[in-house]
Amino acid sequence: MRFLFLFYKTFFKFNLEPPKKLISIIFILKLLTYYSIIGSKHFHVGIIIMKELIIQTFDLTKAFGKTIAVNKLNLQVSGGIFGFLGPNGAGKTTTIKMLIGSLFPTSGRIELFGKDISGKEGINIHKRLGYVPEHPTYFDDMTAEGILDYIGSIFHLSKTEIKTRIAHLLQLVNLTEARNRIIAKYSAGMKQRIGIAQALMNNPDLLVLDEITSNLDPMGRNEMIDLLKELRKEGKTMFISTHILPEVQKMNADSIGIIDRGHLIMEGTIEELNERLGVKMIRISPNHELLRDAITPFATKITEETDALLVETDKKDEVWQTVANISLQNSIPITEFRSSGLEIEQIFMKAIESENGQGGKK
Amino acid sequence: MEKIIRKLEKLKVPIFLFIILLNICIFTHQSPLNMQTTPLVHQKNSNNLHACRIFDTGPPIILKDNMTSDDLFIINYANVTLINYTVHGNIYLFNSARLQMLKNSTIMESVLLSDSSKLKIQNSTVMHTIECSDSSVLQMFATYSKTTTITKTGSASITVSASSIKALNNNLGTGGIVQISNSNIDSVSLGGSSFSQTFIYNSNFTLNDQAVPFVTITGPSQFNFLTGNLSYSTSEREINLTWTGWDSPIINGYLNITFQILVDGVLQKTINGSGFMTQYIGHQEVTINQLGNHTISVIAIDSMGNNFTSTIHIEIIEYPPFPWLYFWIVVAVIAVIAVAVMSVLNYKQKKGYHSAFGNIFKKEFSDNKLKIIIFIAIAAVPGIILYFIFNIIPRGMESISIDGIRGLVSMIFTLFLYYFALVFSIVFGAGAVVNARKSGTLSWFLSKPIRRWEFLWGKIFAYLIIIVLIMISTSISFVLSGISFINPQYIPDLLSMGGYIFLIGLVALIPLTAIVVLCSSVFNKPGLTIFIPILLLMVLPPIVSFLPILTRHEWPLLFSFSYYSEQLGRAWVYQRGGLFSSIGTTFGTEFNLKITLIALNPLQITIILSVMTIICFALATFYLECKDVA
Repeated sequence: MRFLFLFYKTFFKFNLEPPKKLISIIFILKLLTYYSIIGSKHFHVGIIIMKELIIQTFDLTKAFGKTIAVNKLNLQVSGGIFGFLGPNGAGKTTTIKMLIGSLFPTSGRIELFGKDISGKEGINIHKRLGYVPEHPTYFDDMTAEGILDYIGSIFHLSKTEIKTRIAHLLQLVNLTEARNRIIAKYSAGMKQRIGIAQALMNNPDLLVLDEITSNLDPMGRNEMIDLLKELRKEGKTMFISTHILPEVQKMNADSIGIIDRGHLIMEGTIEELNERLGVKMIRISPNHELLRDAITPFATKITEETDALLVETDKKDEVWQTVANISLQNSIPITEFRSSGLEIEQIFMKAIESENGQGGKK
Repeated sequence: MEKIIRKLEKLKVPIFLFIILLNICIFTHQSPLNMQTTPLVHQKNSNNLHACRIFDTGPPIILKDNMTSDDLFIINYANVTLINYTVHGNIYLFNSARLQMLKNSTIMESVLLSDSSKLKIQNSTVMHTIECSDSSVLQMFATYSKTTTITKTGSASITVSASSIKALNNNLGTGGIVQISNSNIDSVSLGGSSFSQTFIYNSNFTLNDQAVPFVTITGPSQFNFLTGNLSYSTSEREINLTWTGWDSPIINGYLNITFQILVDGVLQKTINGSGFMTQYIGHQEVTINQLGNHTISVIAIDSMGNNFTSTIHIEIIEYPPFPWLYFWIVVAVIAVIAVAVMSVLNYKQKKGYHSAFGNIFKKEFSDNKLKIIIFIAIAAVPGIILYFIFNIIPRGMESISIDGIRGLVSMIFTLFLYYFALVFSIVFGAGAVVNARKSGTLSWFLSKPIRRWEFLWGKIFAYLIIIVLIMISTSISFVLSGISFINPQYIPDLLSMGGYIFLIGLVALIPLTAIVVLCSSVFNKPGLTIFIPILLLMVLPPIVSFLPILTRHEWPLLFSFSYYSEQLGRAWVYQRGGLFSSIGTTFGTEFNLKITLIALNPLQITIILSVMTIICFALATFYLECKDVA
């Protein structure tokens, strides 16, 4: 099992030369047959690992004159929700526009579903793609039903198929009642939801969403997040760009990428990023003065919450001993002592900080 | 600059004085160089040895029962009456002066009338001559003066009634009338043209008639307001010639005149125009069967053999009939190609090829449903205008010449196509790409399985179909309204015009749409794409039309977008059509400049515009294919 996992890493995380790739594939297939003989459980694991990379970019660069908006971006998105984070003007929308094919990369290339989007398969890739722009500017004089019908016809869906899809999608985005109203009269939230619905019309495997929650009120945001979680259950891959970090947290993003000034600073699952940042956090409850004072020598940073202390430290054992001693001596009941990861916001800030630090050194 | 101001400051006193001096001079009407006035009064005339008396503006003066040896100058609205008064010198009347000679007044020398002066003679005598010039008026009643000679020049008017005089000369008059009644005149001598007519009633006279008669052809002709020339070109073979002629003198109300009609110098007909009338208005149908330039002349001949010729130049032209056969062949070929392409596309789609061309095409129609209906309705307006124009014309004028209709059609359609093409290209072509790009719809479209060229060409094809629909509406409305009034023999001409209007419409609209679509694809600002058709149709043609005067060649006209449709209109519908394309050349000819003409035939024009259209569409496609859509 471990061997397979390592293999997966070597295969997908690094860009191997095509012959090597072929050899690896043959090897994996052999392994799979082997595991299928041994037991069905392992075979199942094998299938998960075989999941193709949905988005892959190779040194993707986009320059507008002298300004470099995206600089040698290497992204790998394999499934689930991918949170593409970055401050305003970091190059998120530029990357997305390159993914959907409306901007041409200055250099580098993009593969969606393992196929180059600039190649002959471009049109077929777009059949598996759904895109929700930041500002939905659909044909305002059309009804929700009208626009979905039109998109269905673009994808050459049959009439019955279009009917069933429209009914399903309008129910999914909760617009069944407003189906015959003109889109111009919709609220911002409704427009955003019809945006999701139109992107789902072709039942895409990949959904690209650009800052979709930035125009919404908190209620709308929660609804949207629930909707996205729902879609994940259906097995769709979602590439979500946003600068509102708590949302990514709420969505339980499977992996995130952080982009700043065109550079991809970090990429991976939240655990991986924590690991990579070398940050060890301990969450201690309750928040007590004595505890805090005692830990201070060992901690690099202490964040106080109402009922807990968040301690950033390399010396976990010392902290545990100190906490235990203080607890026994002063009979303070320890309700919580556990390792904790950074929240996305903290990861983001740390990543940006470290990047700036490096930039300064350079 | 400061130095100049300082110097001016030093000179300010002399400048100030100079300005005051100048003002004084202006107010006193004096030249500053000659301040001395020369008094006119009592200046001795060395030849006549008469002293001078001047009567200027003022209250009426009556000179009575006396005599003077002076010359009289009656000027500036002065009003003088002589009653039994003798003047031994001359009398000069200037500038609206008035003189009445009553009851045996005598002038021993001559009278000279000029400007708008007026002389009235009754029972009085002028010993020598009365010279009437400019717009002066002479009235002579009951005067017996056998030594008096009246001479008329300019457009003076003379009335001689119940009088007896020596002679009356009417020379080279430019106007004015001479009327003689119940009088005895030893000699009436007429010369020059008959522009100034002489009427003689119940009088005894000896006539010396050397005045030539006058004739002017009044139709058919078109006055070119730029060159001042009369000319006419027509596709009709029967020409309705009209003219007006008269002669001088008309004795006792009888005009004695004969007209000869010549075509290219060959006598066609002689018409006797004599009768009790002051002028003869002639009407004759002349048939010319040969194409090309011809001259028609009318010669007026009076009883003395004096003659005068009036000539017009007529060009007999032929407009080509509409090539219906080729037209339907082309339509059929296009239909076959369209069907073939569609079936190939269907076949390929079944095999898995994805194309959204049809979706974009249909969408353009469904989006612009209302606009298309409005445009088709507007396109029928010229036909409706024609219907109203011709149905308010009284029934008596039913036989409207086909040339008249061509002229009217050309005028209405040229104007219509200018504004219509402008509005059409702005409403449809200008927003084609730029609006979708601006609003972000284009990048959303591109996330769907739609190729960039499909997006553009879906729209372009929709526009082409809309243009065809619009021009069909124009042509059909024109033909239908024409049938309601036209002489049945001209129905083939009408249908032909209908067909050509359709083609000219395509020529006016398609290349312009191509240019606008290109701009829409290239520019990022919708305003620019709207400005381009305005520039091409409203700004450039009037400017460019004058450039041949500078270049001595008509090539700048090729940059005037309207030139092409105007030129086609001239070749097919009406030779004198078009607003701008010949202004420069016509002016140049007037200034005696040699301007080389460019004579493009319809085929060459079609090729030029087709190439331009294809280049524009190709560039638009290329640009959209390669350009980022933000």
